[in-house]
Amino acid sequence: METNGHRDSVQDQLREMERGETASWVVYPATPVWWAVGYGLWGAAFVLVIGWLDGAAQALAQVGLVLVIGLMMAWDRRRRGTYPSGRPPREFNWAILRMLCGAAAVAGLSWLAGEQVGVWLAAVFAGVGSFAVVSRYEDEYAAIAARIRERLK
Amino acid sequence: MSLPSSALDGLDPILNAPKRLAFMAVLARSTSSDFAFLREHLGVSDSDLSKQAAALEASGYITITKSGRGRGAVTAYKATKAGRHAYRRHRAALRSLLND
Repeated sequence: METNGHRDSVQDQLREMERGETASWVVYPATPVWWAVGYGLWGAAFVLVIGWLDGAAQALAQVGLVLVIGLMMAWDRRRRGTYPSGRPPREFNWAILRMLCGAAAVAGLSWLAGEQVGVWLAAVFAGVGSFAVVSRYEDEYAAIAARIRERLK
Repeated sequence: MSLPSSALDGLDPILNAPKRLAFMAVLARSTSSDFAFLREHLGVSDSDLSKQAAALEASGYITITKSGRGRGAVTAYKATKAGRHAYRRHRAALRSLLND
């Protein structure tokens, strides 16, 4: 009886630890629609900067694009009140892998369009593709996060 | 019931308190967390959260930084290297207790 009580207490503590460890990954306010739109615009702008600009202008524009991403991350961090670090919960593995594969496919298609047709088409592919990949990833991520929250409730 | 001494050695008296353990669990897997997020997660009052944070800071397990003023002020908490180590050790000790 005492042993069972002890085991239950330890299990409760471990469960509470898991709930805490996953909190920064799964507890967050709903992602706004403009988030994916922003990534789409960013992807298109990146291709246009690479395709149209040269030398110092290109370098300066790339620094600007990196700053934009930095600002988006800082905004996201502030609204969440926390930011995850380390390995994500394993439930996210496939979603992350699919997102990375999607990003690679968008980059590849965009490069091909740039080589075969022109910068404008490459920018359209990058913009629409980035928007689609990020939208899908955010939806998938939110569904997995909800399942984890429910499991650890 | 007697518990194995090796497992008990790993248990950290600071982290035996459930609220402090939950506090460290959040910080163990985040770059930093702010006051509002931790208060919501732990389900405690402002003063209780401050008390737990002060105990963890006094033990060298977390650092506390305050930025801004007035309504926009943010208090952020971050686990120190010692805090992360103590947390991992505590978790390992709990797991070994469960396996014994």
